[in-house]
Amino acid sequence: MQSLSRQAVEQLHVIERARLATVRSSADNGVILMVWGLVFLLDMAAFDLSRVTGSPLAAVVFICAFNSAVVVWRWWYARRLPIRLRRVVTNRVIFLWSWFYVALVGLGVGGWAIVIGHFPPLWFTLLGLIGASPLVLSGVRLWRQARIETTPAGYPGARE
Amino acid sequence: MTRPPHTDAPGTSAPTPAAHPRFQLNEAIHQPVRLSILSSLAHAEKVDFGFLRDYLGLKDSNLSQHLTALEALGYITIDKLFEKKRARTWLAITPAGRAAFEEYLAVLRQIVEQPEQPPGD
Repeated sequence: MQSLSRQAVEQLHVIERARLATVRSSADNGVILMVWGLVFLLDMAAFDLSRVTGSPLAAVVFICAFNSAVVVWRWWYARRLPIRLRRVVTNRVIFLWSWFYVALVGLGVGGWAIVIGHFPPLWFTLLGLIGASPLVLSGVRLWRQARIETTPAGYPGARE
Repeated sequence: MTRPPHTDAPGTSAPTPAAHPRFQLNEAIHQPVRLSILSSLAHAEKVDFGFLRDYLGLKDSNLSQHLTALEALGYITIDKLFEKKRARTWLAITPAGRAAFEEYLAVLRQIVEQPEQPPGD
């Protein structure tokens, strides 16, 4: 016969597994942040590619079309998820990242153009990597958190 | 909302509520399926019926029975909506349900942290 405390630990596992399953099927599963980060990286890489043509127009057209498609995808993806969370961490991360984005583009493009005057090769891709990394890392962290079960206290192997 | 009493009273003498944390466990959510339902709902604003059915590996009718029981206790709400001509059932936990779940969780943790006593004590 199982001891009472072991039964209680197993019930805590049931609760933890349910929480993880909920997070995996919610907007906080990390997918949106990873996609958002990659979109930003591609946007910036498009500017580097458009320099070949001598005009940023191609990149601007690409960014408008691509980002609109991603916004539609995000809306569709969030709608089809079976879990609606009370507090969505993803939205908060994107909000905080938007300040970083403004500062990065302001200094890296506007400030650089005023002070230096010309952009080195792959400059925008570098900005894209710097800008995308917080989003991608946050997304990967959320994705991993939704898949790793925490051992309840008191259970063999638990981190006290 | 009163908590359903625990019926698992061992021995001949009636234990006092303070005797062991297990007597504070809420019988209504002690059942694994109901505990999983409330655990999922506790972390969400609302949850789709189909998700719970697939996650718990239950048939619609079986899950509906558990949901009806929890709704009757005032622990959850069930909303049936039409989204693009498709019926969708959303489940949400009520404040009473959340309180019951958190109390249950606290008792479980108390049991885990409390050292096991030998039988007969």
